[in-house]
Amino acid sequence: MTSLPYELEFYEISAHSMTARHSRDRVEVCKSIDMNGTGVRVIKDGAIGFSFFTEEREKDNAIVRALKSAELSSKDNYSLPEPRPIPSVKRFDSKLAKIDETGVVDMLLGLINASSSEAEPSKGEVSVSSAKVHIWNSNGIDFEDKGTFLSVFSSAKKGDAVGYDYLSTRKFEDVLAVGESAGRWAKASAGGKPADFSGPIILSIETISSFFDSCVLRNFNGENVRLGKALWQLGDKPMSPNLTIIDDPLIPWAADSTGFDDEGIPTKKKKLVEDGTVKQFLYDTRTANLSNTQPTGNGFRSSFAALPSTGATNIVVSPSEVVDTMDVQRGFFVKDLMGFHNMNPVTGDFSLDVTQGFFVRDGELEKPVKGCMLVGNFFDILKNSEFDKDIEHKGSFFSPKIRFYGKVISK
Amino acid sequence: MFDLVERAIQKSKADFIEVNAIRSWSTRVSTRNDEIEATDSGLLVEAGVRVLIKGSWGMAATNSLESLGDAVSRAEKMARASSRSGIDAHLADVPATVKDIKMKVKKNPADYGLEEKAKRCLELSKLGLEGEKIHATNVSFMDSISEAYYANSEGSRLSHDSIVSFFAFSAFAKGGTLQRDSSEIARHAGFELLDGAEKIVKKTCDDVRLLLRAELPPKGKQTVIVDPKMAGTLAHEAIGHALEADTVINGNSTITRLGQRVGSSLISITDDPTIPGLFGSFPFDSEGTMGAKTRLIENGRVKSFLHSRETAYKMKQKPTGNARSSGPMEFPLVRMSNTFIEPGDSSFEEMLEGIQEGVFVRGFKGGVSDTDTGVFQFAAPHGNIIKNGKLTEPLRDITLLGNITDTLKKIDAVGRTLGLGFPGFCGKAGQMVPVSSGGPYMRIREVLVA
Repeated sequence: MTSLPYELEFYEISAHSMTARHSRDRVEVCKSIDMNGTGVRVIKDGAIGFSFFTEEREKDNAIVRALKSAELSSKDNYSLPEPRPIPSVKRFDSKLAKIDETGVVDMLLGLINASSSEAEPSKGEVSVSSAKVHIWNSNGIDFEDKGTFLSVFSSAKKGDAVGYDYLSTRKFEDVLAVGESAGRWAKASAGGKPADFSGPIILSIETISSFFDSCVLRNFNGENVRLGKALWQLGDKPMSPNLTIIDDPLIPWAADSTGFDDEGIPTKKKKLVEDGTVKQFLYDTRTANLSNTQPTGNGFRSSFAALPSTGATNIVVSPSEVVDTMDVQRGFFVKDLMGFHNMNPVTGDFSLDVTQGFFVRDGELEKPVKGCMLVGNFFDILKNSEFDKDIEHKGSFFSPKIRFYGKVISK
Repeated sequence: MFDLVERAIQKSKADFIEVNAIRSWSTRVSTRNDEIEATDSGLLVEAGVRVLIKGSWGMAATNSLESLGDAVSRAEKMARASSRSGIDAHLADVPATVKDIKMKVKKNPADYGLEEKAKRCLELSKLGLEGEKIHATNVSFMDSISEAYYANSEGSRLSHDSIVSFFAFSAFAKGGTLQRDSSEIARHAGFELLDGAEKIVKKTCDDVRLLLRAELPPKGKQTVIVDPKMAGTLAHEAIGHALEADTVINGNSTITRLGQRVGSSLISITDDPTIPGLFGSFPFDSEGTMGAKTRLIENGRVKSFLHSRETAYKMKQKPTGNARSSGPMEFPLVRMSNTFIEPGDSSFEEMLEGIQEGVFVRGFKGGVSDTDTGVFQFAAPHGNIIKNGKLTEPLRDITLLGNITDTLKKIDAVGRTLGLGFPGFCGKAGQMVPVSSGGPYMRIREVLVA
């Protein structure tokens, strides 16, 4: 195939996913989807062409259409990757793969039950899927891998309070714990009232994860760096010297773990920030070429019908000095915030609704609080904060709780 | 396609089964300034099966029509499993219909190569770039030719050939500040969509230049006149969503009963998927119910909710043909089509005359509304100060805040010209469906401007 007058790539995915959703204590929607599709990328005289199809008999036509598209496109002048050794990572669980449609509904019924032990079940979802990806290109890549996925969401009500929890992983896990946790948080939050507070504030992993998605991770995307939309350059010191941030695709069973990206490039663990200093940005093949650097194994696709673009994998926030963040005489724990779409992703300024908060007294959660605002700047928080000794995780995000001195204002 | 579907339906032992299938061929072109950024094309086949067993739904979908039989078994498995704690769904009656609907367009996209489409988009992108102070331009174009099928165990057999085209243009202007503005056109139409698109490019460039010298609006409660696009946004976002029966049944809407007063008696609102060509139009919905005009609000009071067969049964009302999904792989939800406020009898000049100080609001660029509380926050890119009955200095970034029923009650004049068909993709539970909205110019007293 090396005699082709162009470079050719097939990205083929076949996935089976089953989802069951409830509203209150009733099963509402159950869905089983078999998805199959192929994206075709060609590079001819430095120009990129793309097409996609779902029916195998369309394959030859799809190549012709991709070549036509390459003739029209401006030149990007990159080459498809060549094969390199792929690291192994645990991401296929045969126990999860064996679950069928009835099994998913059974898991959902269990979840409804678990969330009703201390509160009323509100909404919840269990989704189990397995997917096989095959990448072939004319430079010799011919990789196939399969992975499994489990995601669970549960919310419960107690009076006017809502509690929720979620998980996403590649290994079978007890979904009941998610429902029980949602019920427990609903019960703990019931009767929350607005309050003012000034002092040590502790952020939950859920809120830190949302902050990273809203204003931090975009600055490590090589495409944003190239277009001047990122805040930092390599060597900048925007964070506490206590802080290291890692993009790690090789954590066993983590949601975004994979041995190769959607272009067939082997993935690796990378320090984005080391001891507060920016060390590395993320690149797919195209962006790396335009930036005169190497791809980092971060080229991912939103579907078979899309070209790869740069994306992060599992993010690990790893401090060098740690404390017990809850060990305060008087403090405020922020469990949940709302309104992240309104925060300023460039300056890091935020003013967010505290939908679930608690006073902390002598290291324990005390009275629930809601209906007030947390105001501040997240980049300042990353400069001047303390980090917990325990690293928690939600889906692909791993981080300790963060404690800083700040203010909560009643509305 | 119907023979494969027929076999799947015959095989099923469910109380009710329906199949949606689509084969669609699409092309996309995007430009940046004087370059074609990307082009692609694709052929997609999708089929979805939904079954009802003892009041519980099960759904399965596939990209391969050959495996429809397997999909039926998987859907039945899920329905049976969930019937242990199901929702007890029933369907309101609709007549079984057999119909083959074909659509005619002036310029069939199949007759134009990717090259011609790319060339035309580049022409328009460059035309924008030639404009004074224009710093950058983007064009995004998409068209699709699709065959859609619907069949159910009650005997409905429907098919629909349709063609949709979408064009979006955005321009950045530099001069002191950097400003961006954009326009979209989208219709059930072929390549003729781009005939005369020069006008839209030029208008967008004029508009973005205007933003360079526009000021932020005066804050506080004011009398405003909104344009047809903002009127359409009020109709769709703030009223339409609150009238979707699934939202009402789940207790997430402030509007709960027929006859409820939600606005001034000058206000009537209609949802109509039968207007030829509009982006939100469709001949039948994802449950095979024929699309029909529904008067939602009549002289300020609720006249009808929007329904699927399931919600109609629950609320003991008639199905309105508004069960839509983003494709055969998704579960149908209650959705709008083309939603608009009906015209009144005032002229624009008459509305202006009554205002000593106020704000004219033009366009829509984003916002949120909450059916639970009726609170909305909509931003418009453009506007003008109104002084002594005249439009004066240009404004930018005008945000309107309020409670929807309070706001609709404060409308004291409704224009006589109707602006229709502002296209968009409406999102609900992660599914995007094509819709449009519109309305007349309207005068509203005491609106909070921020």
